[in-house]
Amino acid sequence: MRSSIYPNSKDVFLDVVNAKDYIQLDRVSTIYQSLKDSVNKPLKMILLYGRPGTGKSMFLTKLHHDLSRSKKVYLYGTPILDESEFYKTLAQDLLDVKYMGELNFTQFMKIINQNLLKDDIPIVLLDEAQLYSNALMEKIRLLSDTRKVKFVITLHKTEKEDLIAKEHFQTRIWESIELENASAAELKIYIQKKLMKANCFDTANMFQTNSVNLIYKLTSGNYRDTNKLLYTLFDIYIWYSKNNPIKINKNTISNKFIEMAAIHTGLIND
Amino acid sequence: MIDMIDLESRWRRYKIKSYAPYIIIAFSIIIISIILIVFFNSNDKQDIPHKVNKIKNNIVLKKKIEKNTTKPIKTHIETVVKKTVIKEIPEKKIVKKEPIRSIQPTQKMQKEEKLLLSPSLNFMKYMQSNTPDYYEGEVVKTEDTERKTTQPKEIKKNVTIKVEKKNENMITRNTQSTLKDIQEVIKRFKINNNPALSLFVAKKYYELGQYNKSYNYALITNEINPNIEKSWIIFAKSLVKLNEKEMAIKTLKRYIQHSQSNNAKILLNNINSGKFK
Repeated sequence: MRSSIYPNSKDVFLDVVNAKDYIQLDRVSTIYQSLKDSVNKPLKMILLYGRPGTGKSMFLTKLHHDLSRSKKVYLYGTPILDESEFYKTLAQDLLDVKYMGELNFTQFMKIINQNLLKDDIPIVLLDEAQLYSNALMEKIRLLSDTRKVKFVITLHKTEKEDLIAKEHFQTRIWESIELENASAAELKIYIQKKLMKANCFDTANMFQTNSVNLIYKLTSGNYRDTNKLLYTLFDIYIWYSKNNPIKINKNTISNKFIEMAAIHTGLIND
Repeated sequence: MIDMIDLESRWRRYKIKSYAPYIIIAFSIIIISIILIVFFNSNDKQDIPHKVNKIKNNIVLKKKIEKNTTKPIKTHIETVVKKTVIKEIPEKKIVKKEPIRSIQPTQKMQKEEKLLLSPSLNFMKYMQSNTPDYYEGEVVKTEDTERKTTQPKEIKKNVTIKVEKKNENMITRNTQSTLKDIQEVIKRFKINNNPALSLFVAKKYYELGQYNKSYNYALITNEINPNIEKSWIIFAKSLVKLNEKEMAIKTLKRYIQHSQSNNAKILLNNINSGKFK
């Protein structure tokens, strides 16, 4: 086994949201398909929610990647907190018009009503929507009421619960999809598929059920935590392959190294 | 770049911490089980084996006593006991016989004897409980009353009995007063354990002819203070009276070796020559 496989394996788990890195798991695929179906329905707003690290951003990225070929889809991964800037950015993306100076909600609504057609409804994907102010969220709802723009927003679960409590969201026609952490079995498939996708077959085979169970115990199946843990794990493997290769068991992932990685990433408090 | 040495030491600390609760639980279980085992064992010891040991010890002591005692002594003591209407318990025999076998006036011997001798004062309790019966002269009285009731018509016999009764009453009154004194002294002795008091009691019992009791009190006195000459003499005299002449001679010889007591020498000569019987 060449020592270079560890750096390659390490790079696989870099915490980067890329549609190409999307791993198809049975349950996740089903959810994704239902999201795609919802987008095609005459819904004003779709809510995607879940705990941090459950793959919401990846879902939006994948959706953007898949729909961009056939539809007008605009992804806003980073929230635009300034209201005027938000309208101007939307106007530029949706209508291809660049506005100088201030643009308020009334002006923006007028522009939308005048220029957008109901036949070709653009889809706006807003990630981390919990960061938007309540006033802006209310205006986003009013925009969706025009049925000339469709919104897919992602929220952290707790924020979603707060949001649902508000009447204006309760009365709207919209769909909500919850994303959850992976199970131990799903996590094993996730890790192995991710490694095999990068041609790291040797390291993929090293992940036995015991090792994955320990990883699951430490990360609770959270994708972001798992990526972080495995990135550090392969960092440790790189160090040992250079300095103390005798300690590396090439057949299975060492629980000691997993625990060391967990200590380093803060998943274990030593 | 990860500081792997530091990370390894942190991992070791983590492993120790993670195993600590299991170690503590296992350790506490072991301790609890040991405590329980010890507790139950001690209970068992208190219940059956302790009793068995006691019985065994008693048997051994009895065997020793049987070895060291001669039949005439036994019978004599028994007769004395019967006459005085004092019920002697087997413990008393133990107290009596053990010191006879091992009495030595030297300090070394005394230390050894302390292990064997346990001068139980129980006999005094028995004595206390029994002496009132003696004062009342129940034996004499009952005999008299029986005679009175069974033979009411024989007037001559009744007269002679009445005379005897008067004489006996005189004796018993005298003995009653001395016994009351002895009782009081015994009470005081129980409180302060003064050898002078026990010696007094021994003397008085000797005077009353209760040699087994005088022997016992002399023995107790010797136990408390082995250097009282009078106590040894009373002790030897009581032995002679209890038909333990050889033992008395042996004891006196040892005491003379230790103390060079003239009185003891005189008594020894008297015993040997047969002047003192």
